[in-house]
Amino acid sequence: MAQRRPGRGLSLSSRHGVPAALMAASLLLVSISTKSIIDLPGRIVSGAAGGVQRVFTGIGSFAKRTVFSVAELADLRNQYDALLERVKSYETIERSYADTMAENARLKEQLGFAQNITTIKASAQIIAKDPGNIYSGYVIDKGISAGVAKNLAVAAFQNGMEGLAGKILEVQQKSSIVLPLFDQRFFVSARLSRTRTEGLVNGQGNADEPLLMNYISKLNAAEIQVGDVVVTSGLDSIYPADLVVGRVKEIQLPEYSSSAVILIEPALNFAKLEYLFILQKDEKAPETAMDSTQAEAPASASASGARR
Amino acid sequence: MIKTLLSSTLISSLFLLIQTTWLKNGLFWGVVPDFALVVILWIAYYNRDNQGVLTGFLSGIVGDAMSSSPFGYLSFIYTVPAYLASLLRRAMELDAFFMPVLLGFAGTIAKGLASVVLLVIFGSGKINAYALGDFHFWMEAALNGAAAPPLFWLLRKAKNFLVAKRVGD
Repeated sequence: MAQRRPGRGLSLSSRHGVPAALMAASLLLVSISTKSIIDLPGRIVSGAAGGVQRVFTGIGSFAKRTVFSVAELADLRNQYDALLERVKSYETIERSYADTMAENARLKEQLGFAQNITTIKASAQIIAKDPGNIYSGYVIDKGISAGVAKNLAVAAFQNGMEGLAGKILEVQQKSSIVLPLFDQRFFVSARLSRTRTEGLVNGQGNADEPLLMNYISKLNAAEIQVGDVVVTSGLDSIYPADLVVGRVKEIQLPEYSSSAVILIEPALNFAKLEYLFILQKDEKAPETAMDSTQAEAPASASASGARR
Repeated sequence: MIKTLLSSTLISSLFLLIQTTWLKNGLFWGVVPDFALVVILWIAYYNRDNQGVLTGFLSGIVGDAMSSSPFGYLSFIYTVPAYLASLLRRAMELDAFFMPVLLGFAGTIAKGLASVVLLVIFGSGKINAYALGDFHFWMEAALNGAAAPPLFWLLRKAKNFLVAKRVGD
């Protein structure tokens, strides 16, 4: 049995001291990088209580899900057949929607709208992803040298549609890290394209999970239908208006709240993303916007274009 | 010790790079196995003087630089399993297959619990953590367990560079 030398206690040279010091150093780094060092003691106490509650709730809902899932299986077959029929009708609607969007774009162009001109700052390739499975950042091959800056919006084209993919989280000289739409730390002001109802969309941390749209009153939620398109509202300083976020998948009306929760299926399939476009929201008139972009990023001028 | 510490950090960082690039789309169901963690566990098991813990910390710092996670996040969740693996040194003997599988699997659970600790401390607005009931987490644990025996075998070949010798060894 190992004997502890007198007076050494929990010194840095002890068997447990170094690990404890390194864990404390890691916690300090996280505190600094998340800017939460000031309210850390309060968070520890409330976090511990909340954590225990989460565990209990998790265990309870797991047991409940397991029991109810058996009964649900019987209904699934009928629902599946009904859904197949609905998918067919949605496919038709989607085709007409794409036509309408294209027509809308042409009409807008003819009308000469000057608001919210968005410039593609750079096109970039995804070269790496986060090392683990907890975070889901994308590393792209463009950085400061290509005019990329922190908090610029990032979009992607898929199936002929432009959808919001995320925003720039960190930027280096030749590369940047993109925070994807489905990350828990991602928030964007959005609205229903048809009803113009506004809400706040945020991710749940997993590309397979739907996005959540909050702060929609139950009164307004009555007008919303499954399949409605959700677009960015353009009300924040980062994201240009009318970028497609996704489609309404489910409308939840919790009894405890006066607001509805809208579940949104992202417009982009993140498993298939390869290229991204970094967008800059610009409120200036088209001519001015074009001039300033060319002045800022002459190197990327060939890859730039104006988009409404 | 400095030399072996640098070698082990370099190797685990190399695996981190592989995870972020070649394996960026995951192996099964989009899940990326954590080879770097397996390396750290091996280093922690075979080395004395907290070298494994230091390797976990330094590799985590390298990983934080490649990740969208808050700085210090990966260093914490790699330091915890490394510390636990270093404690196992006296308690169990590593064989060629079963113990490595167990170590890889248990190390992932320790990593998951460490992430939950961070979530509890800092809140879900700032920190993401493993959902311990989620299928993806257990898939990663299984992949890490499966990767451990071949990786341990490879690491044993480079034992001279990765395990610090003491006077009298």
